[in-house]
Amino acid sequence: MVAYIIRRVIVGLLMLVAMSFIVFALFMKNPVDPAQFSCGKNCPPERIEETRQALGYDQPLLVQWGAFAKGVVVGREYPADEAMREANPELVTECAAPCLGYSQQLQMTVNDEIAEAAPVSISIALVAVTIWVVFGVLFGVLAAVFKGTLVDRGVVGATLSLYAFPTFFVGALLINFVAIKWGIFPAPGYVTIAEGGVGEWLLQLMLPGFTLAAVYMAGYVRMTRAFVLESMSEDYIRTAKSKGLKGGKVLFKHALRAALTPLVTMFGLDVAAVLGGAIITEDVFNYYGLGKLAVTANETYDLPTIVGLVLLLGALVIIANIVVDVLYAFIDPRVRVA
Amino acid sequence: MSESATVFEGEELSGGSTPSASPEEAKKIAGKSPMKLAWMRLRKDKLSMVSLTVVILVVLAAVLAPFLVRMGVLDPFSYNQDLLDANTIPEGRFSGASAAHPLGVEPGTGRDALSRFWYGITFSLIIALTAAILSVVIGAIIGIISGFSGGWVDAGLSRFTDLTLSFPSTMMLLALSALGLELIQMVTGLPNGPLAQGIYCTVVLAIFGWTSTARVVRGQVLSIKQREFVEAAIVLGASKSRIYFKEILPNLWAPLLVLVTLMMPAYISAEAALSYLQVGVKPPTPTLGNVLTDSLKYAQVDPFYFFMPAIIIATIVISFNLLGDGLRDALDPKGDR
Amino acid sequence: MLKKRAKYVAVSAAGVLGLSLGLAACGGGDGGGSSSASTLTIVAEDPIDHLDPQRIYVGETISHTTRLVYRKLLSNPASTDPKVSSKPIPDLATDEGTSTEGAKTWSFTIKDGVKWEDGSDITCEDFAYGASRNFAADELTGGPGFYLTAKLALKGEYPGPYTATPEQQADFDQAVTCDGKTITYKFKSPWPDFPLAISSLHMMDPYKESEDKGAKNDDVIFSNGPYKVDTWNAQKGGTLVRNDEYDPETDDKSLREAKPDKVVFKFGEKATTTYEKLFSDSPDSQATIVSGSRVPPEFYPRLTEAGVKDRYTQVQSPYVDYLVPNQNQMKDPNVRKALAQATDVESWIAAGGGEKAYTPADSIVNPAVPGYVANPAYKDRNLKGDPAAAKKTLADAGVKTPYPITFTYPQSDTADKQAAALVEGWEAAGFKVTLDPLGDVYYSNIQKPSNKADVMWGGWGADWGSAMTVTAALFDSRQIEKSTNGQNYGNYNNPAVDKLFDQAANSATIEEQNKFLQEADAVMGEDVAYIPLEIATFNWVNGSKVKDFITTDASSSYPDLGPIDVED
Repeated sequence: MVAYIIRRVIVGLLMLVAMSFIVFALFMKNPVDPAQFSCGKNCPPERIEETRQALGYDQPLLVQWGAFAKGVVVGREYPADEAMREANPELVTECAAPCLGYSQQLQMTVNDEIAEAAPVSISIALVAVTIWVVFGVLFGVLAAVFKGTLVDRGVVGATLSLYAFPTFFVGALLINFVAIKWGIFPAPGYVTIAEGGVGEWLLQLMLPGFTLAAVYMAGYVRMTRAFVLESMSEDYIRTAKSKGLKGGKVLFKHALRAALTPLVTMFGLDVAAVLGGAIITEDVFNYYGLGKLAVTANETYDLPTIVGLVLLLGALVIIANIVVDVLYAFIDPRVRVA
Repeated sequence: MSESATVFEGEELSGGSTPSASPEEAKKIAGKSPMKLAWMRLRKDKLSMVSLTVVILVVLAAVLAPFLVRMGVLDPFSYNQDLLDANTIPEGRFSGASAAHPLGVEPGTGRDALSRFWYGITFSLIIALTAAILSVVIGAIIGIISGFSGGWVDAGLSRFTDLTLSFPSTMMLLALSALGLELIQMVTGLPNGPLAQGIYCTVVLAIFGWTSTARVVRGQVLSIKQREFVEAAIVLGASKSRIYFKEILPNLWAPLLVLVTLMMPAYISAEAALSYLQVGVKPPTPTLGNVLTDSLKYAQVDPFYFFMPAIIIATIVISFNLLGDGLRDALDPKGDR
Repeated sequence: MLKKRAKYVAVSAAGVLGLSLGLAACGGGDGGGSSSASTLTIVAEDPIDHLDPQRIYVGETISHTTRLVYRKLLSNPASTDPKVSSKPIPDLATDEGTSTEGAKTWSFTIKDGVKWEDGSDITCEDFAYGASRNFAADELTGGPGFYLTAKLALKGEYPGPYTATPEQQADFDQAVTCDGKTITYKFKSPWPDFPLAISSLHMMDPYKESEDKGAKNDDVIFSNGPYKVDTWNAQKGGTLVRNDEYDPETDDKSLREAKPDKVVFKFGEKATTTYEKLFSDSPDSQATIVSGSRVPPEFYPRLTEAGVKDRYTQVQSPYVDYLVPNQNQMKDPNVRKALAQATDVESWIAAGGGEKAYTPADSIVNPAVPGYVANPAYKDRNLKGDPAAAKKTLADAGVKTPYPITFTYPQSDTADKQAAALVEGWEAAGFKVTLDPLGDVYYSNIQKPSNKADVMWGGWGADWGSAMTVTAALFDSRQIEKSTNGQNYGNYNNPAVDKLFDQAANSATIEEQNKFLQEADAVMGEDVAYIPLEIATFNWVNGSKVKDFITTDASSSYPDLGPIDVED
């Protein structure tokens, strides 16, 4: 088992290395000048050169990438150019490990940007995940139990419809009608727990949480329904039933457990994805999380922020994969040898 | 990497892990006349037939639109500002619907709403279909090579697939837009117009969308490889490429068809999201995403115009999804759902 | 569209057209003094570009920072009476200043007891240092410092305080001198409206040298006004709280009453959402005003609703929007003339919201600016455009039709519709139009002389009540350099017009100056240097608990925070 985990982690690390290299090659070695890109709008030529030096874009790709990798491991200092650091000691910014870069436009490290935005994304993700898992599984079981009836069709149809409407439309609909016109929820605006307490925090997260959950819920309903149905038709469940076990008990003890494994897989990857920021949901509701950070970084041509975010999210997905695989290995020992 | 065969990991673009074919389900779809059998099964399924009808109508509409525009029956570009009130909102109920403008006109411009929706379907479908076909082609090539070669080639390609899946695709679509558009203009010499923007959408969707196909195809190839007719071909000294394309591809059409059908709605949603994020095809070219993004502002003053594009997109997305499900079940004899 | 227009604009001085409805005229009342902490929230879709006083050049930002954090030697009062608001009164200075040598030298004495937020006195040296920062234009980009750098009586080159040699610094120090609390500026030529330049912009603001970190300070507010920063993030906004070091005794009530205890800035919310909340009087929007975005057209039908009507303010803006043909691309004057003839201003206006949003313009100069006259070329033009006449002009020019042109403009939903509205008329005349909407890179693109667009959009308002800051600022060819054309986006180059600008600059009286500028404008009309489109009308709706909401000339018709208050 330990050997398996180690193997998985090494593969994950290698993937991270490969990913960071691809991202660097993609953004730094292309016809668009990365220095101009990082310098922002209306940037005069002198500033572009300065930005190039400050961020180290004047170096060969491999050197840049090496500096970045080193920064992730042990931290680094900006400006990247040593002569520039010595000439302007007041400009030097320390970027502690794992350093993901420095935004010339915001004059802060990407780490700090992420530290500010991450709590918002995590909050939305928490609420969204809870909504979609609880209701997804519940509705999935319901649909399976009442297979072929109106309940089944209603549940599957409703969740599919929710999924079919684009996220930004669902968000706009909720803001316009549920919050503003009918006043059922307060008009959205992120409140931290420190500012408003848990109740206020949660209340403000309901609409964005639901919007994001609407995207994923249909998948969980269908998955749960399918696996419950499949496992209910398996021999051992039939045996259990014929032995006189009650329907409910069979359902929860056996059928659901069988559905658990694939659900855990899906769950792990989805959680990693939403933790990294729900771009559209955050943009619609103007919640300044990682997704919104990505949108503004893209609008203002803030390349270091974009690169840092992409790598952070990639790392999240890779880690989630490792966790899922290891969990899988625990549940199903056959995997380990594969 | 675990086997969650999502069609397109576009997070909110198209839904996380929704309607999708899992490889186990798509496996072993072969028979004497699979097409006939499948059709028989599909016909029995009322829901699938309804969605098939809708899909056919939508595709037909998309194909007809350019001709109707050329003939002047549809006019998505002309302004009719005389139909607007002093506040530039359409006069009359239902966005000022009339015989000439059955779904009313667009606020601010008075452009015919039906024409914009209709022509929008064409552009969105072109993007979605091209991207889906591209994804499937890339995925199939990688899947076949991977499945057939085995060994380190297989391992390498599988890792590459995992790597592609690890990229935060929504963020990449957003972040690559400026670079990508510039690159496309340089390579193709096109101006920064709807065509270049459309190519960008198509290409990036495909770049991040081929992974599920590669997985499914690889699985199929692995199982087909063991069968007698392929083994026979190898024994008889058939060349590798011949085996790939002559022997294996025909056995893959069923799962690939399912994949394309399920990718369509994902990409239609994705196009809409890209337009919302201002990195899709830019107005005045109507796409479903453009029309929907514009309509968001009119929730209160022109609710009809607010809801119409969303309902159209949702209908198309649901129909393609249900059809995809139906097809998968019909093509998979084991399926009992 | 709006944001960029705002970028280059400050105040229009003697505007009489300002039409303020609703609450606007109040002013008096019980005069604040609320018991609990009151908070005013300012919501904006886009973040503020620059907060460094020497870099601010957006009319609205100038006004907000003046009322909240940056005091100046002289400032314009917050009054709905344009006569009052266009006349600078002493702020940090003891009086309006004295000029000698026919306005070639200006002196101001700094008040006692005026302090920075850290408790230190604002000194004469702080003013001199602030002035010197205008010369570091490569480090501190975006500001209006060229007004000063063109005029200051320097003997040689001065590159700003960061890189100046001791000799260069000495050169600056002889032009800007300190004698105790009295600062004296020496200019090369007379600058009679220098007080207006001080009060309308922030370029002459003091800056404390020990706080200066150059470009790094772009989002840093080191206050000397009634508020100071509690928290601030350039992208998200922040909170301003009372500045204990500010002494209201040193200030004038007509400049700032500073009634709310806290001012919160919130960036990033879509204007549609903000106004949706305001229109439905949603509880969290009641103490809110909007910055930047006016009421979008989709809300116009609801302006007459009962709960909205009395919170609605309509005022004509000090700007003019116009089209600029690129003289490097469309070289043939007849082609440009055809373009002007075929321009359908009516459709453009309708697509942008109709009569509530715009009034047609007939000159590059806003009617509120002294010296405005209609441009003869556009005085009686057909606002619907005349494609038939344009077709004939194009045929006479002997060019091949369809004549391909590219129209570039700053992208927004509304601008997309407006641009497409022009296409119909132009194509009927024989042009083949490609639209090229641009995002944030818009201005940096069109400011390149090598830019390949044929037609561009522009928006401009006078920096202060002088047509010099419009006509000459936009069309003087001598601002065109290799890498930038300044504000002369169309690369218009007519030596005769440049000469008229020189004559205007050296005129003894305003009347004479305006004569020359009007003459230049007439030539520009003939040359089709620009095609005037419209003057935006600003529509504002404020939260129901906001009191004394006014728009003034001093705030470029944006909300003026001078007297504003929030009910409990």
